[in-house]
Amino acid sequence: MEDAEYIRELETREREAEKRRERIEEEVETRGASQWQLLWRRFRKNKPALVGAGILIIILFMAVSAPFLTYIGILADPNSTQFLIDPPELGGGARALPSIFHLLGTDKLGRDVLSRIFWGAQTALIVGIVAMIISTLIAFTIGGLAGYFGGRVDAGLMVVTDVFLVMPVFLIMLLMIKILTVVVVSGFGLWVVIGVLGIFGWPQMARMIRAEFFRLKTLDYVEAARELGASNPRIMIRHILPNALGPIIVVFTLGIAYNILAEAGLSFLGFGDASTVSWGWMINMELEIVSVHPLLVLFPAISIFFTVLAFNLMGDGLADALDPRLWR
Amino acid sequence: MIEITRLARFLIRRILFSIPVFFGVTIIVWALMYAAGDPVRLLLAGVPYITPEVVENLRRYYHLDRPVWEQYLFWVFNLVQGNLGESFVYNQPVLQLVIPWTIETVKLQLSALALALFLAIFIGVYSARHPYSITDMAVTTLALLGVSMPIFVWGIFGILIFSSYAHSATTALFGFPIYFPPVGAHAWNYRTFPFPLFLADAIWHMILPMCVLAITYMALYVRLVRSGMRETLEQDYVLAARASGLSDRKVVYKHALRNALIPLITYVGLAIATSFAGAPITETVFTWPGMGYYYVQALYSLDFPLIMAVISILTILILAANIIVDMTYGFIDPRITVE
Repeated sequence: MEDAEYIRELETREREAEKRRERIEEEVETRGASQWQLLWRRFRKNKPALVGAGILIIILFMAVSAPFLTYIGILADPNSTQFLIDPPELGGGARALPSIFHLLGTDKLGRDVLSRIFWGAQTALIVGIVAMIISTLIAFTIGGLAGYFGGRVDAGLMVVTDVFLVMPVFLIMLLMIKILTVVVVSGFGLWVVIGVLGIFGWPQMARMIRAEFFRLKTLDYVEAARELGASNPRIMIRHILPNALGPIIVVFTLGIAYNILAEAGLSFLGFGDASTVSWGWMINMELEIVSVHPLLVLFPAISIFFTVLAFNLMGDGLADALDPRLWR
Repeated sequence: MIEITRLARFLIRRILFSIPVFFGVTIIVWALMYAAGDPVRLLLAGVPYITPEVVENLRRYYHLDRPVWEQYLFWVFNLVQGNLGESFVYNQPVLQLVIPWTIETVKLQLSALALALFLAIFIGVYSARHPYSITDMAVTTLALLGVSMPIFVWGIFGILIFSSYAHSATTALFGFPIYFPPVGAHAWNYRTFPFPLFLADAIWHMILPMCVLAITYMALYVRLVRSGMRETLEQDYVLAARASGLSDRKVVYKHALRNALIPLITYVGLAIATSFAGAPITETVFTWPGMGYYYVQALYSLDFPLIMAVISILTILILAANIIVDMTYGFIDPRITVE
């Protein structure tokens, strides 16, 4: 008798648990999508942004696969000058036209252009992204502190930002690279370029982050976190930053495009790093012969163009997807 | 009268605010050059028969025997008196060298900016009034192209097509060349030209670099005008203006355009710094005798007084441009008062 009652009770409990589980599953299914899912849904509708993402995937593939393809021998070594002494019927020689052996021809020193384009993708992405990470860290520190604390801290930090915003940045970047590479350190070519781009790329982003922090710090949930005893750094990083992430991502994406252009410009003027494979440097090297052999300038130029275009399209698409006025 | 005093107060405040920014920039550059080491050693590199006395005299001549902060103050005092020092390479007072370069740079940049703004407003307004038409699509695509291509690529291929190829093609066809000069701002003997010829020569030399600069500037501005205009044209007051029977042109250019221009002006104010700073690339491509071109040359030879002079003049130009841009807000939108 007791046993039967007990079993019945167990069964009813099990049934209730089953119902609860079903309800939870139902809830999970019907619950609204997360912010990122919403973002992706809006981003997906934007055709140009998707094209940009597609180009970016191709360039990422080029950058990642370059060492592997070179290792298994599909691509030539980007620094090897051995094709200089190859006979012309094997597509060798300096500034050879595109052939079946070298799909994009060879450059001034007989190096394979296709391979250099692949390796250049790696350089461009590293320069663009790492420099932008440095910029973002500086911008977050300065803009975040200024926006969060306000008052005198804000005034002081904004004067610093204004100095950086007003100075002729590109000229000072040139000066700094010249001094760092020639006089102070040598052998860190690319990292000097990355560091300099990063150090000077933050002011606009810092202003944006400051405005976001200014707006967010007065909201109730931040006040609640403070009442619960959260420290200032914790509030800044755990509570305010995630809500300011949208515009930061947009500026980050567009900043990568700017950095790639700036690196190409620096290399074009001869202030890049000659020992790494860089599209800007390739243009600089072949400039003297452009009227006779424009292809050698055209290939790296097209590569720069498509990479920058991809990041610009992505940035625009993200900005549209994040714009609350278009949410409807 | 009240307007004028308010404007004057605004100007004085902005100029006072600009002074610490200017010194901030120059101190950063000064610190950078101090890190580069002893300029005398660079000056004398490769010169034979140098005695220690010569080195000592040179150091005293350029005031390099003093502490670095004293050197900086010395430079500031001289700057106030209009003396920017003497170039290491040209052995001339820097100011004399820099003034013609400044004129060339400002001439090129301002005319490119004006051309870009003029074209951007017309094209942007047109494509905002005909959204998703073929012209609009073409303009938006071309604008993206303009932003994404490095400016020196535009320059190189501009020279290639309109200078090099045009020269040989027109010579073969007509027997005389029709082309744009790829190098310099004047013909070599421009000093002997009478004024009309001088002017025509200067404009002829300027067209190619001006158009290349304008393409890259315009690309950004067209997008701003287009989006601003599309937003403004949907406002109620535009509808009200239309309903009151004003002509279409008057509604668009007199009522809507002013509001649509505000984001553009904000952007131009920010972009002036980058456009002046971007001068080295364009001027190197076209061998334009402006500050950017000679700045790169001065960097190759580490001519410190020249570097310092170019950067401080450009900073002053940028600060002045920013003040002017802030003042134009008041003219375009009377609701914004200069404060």
